[in-house]
Amino acid sequence: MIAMLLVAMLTPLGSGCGKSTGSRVFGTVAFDGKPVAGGKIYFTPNAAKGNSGPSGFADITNGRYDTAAAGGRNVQPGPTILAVDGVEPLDESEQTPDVTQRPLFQTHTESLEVPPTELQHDIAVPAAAKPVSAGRGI
Amino acid sequence: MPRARHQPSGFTLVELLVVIAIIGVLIGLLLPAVQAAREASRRAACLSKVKQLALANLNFENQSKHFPPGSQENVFPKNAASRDPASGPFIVGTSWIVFVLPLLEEQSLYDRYDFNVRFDHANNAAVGNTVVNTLFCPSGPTPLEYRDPNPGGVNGNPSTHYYGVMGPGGATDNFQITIGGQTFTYRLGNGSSNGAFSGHGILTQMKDQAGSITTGRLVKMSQITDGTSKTFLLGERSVRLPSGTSNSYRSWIRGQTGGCGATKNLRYPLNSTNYTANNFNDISFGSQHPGGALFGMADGSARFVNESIALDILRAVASMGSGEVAQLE
Repeated sequence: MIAMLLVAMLTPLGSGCGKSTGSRVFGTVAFDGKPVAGGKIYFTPNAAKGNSGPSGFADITNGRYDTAAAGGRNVQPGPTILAVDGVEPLDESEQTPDVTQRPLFQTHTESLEVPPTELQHDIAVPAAAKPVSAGRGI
Repeated sequence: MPRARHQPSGFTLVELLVVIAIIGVLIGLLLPAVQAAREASRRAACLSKVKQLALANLNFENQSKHFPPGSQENVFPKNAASRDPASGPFIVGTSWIVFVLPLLEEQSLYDRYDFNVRFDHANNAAVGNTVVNTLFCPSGPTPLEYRDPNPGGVNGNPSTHYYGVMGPGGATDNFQITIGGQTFTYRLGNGSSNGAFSGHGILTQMKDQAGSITTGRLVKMSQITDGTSKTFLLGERSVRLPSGTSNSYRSWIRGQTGGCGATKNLRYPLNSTNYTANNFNDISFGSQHPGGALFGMADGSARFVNESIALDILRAVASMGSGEVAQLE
């Protein structure tokens, strides 16, 4: 009885958030064969191939990404351009209050066809991707 | 005396539980509606703040015949005999918010600000530590939740939830956007660095030294040829950061030194990007309002922008004079 009561009270609370539409895209991200520690992946509809609409994105966590996870948004199906920004934490001795991570490579882009359901897509950023400087302090 | 059969005068346990269950269901139905009404009123308060800030900028333009610099960088001290380029630039680095303080009824705060020293000089610590209520969205984190981690006068300063739109952002200088089959090219200084700045927005970075796309850049109303109602002036960034992180907000008085404190490029989708590395000026606009964020336009209006609008449309609206035909809806 009490359990039913709780279920009745909590059900409407949980249903408040809408699930994001679009296709889930997930997989692994490696740079020079090693998992990328952090960063972000953006999925933009390819306007040159007639696709348009909202962009999807996903956080990179320990070499994996998933647009359906926290910090992500699912991807509009169709021709898509993905852009990867990978970062890694700086050594403790190099950190300042405002700079704690550094970029691993310049933004890496790929073309991708996203199906209406879901897609596993593993990304291998070549070692030749030009590294960037640690950047100025901010 | 024959005793009458005992009649219960109260409720049975089952009746009581049924009543509680019904009340529970009713509260459960009501609560989301109340939460939505509360969020709607917070959003209305936020909209009013965006409008105040947009009007303050327009009044500034009216008085000074140009908009305030979004983020000053490398500005030499005025009337100073010590102005010696050989000794390196002198960063004053004040944000647009400080310039419009008198127009937000904060004249006394403005009078305390020392424009002849850097924004993070101890002289400006008292101003930087002040919480100006107009700068905070009621749906977002509280003003003192995320503070400036940098040393100096700005240490521990509250931030702002409203940022000047510097213009469309991209990966490199001369990046392109295609709108309606037509391709437009945009200038960008310091691409893929914390200090990346667009040369196409209204509240942009402004330098003293020659040779930059933002040298002496103070925008006049007549330069907004895309239409003032079709150009972003400022936008909201009032997101709560993922747990365990706090390093995305900086002092509200900060212009540019390496990265901009109170202006951002519009490069990434709304609600997508926090600070990681080398993306400080490209941190995305966003809010705790469901589904988008509020923006102030260059005509003084304020509006909600849905996060599902195509990114290139938003970037085109961030530019003030490139001639794109970009409708927000």
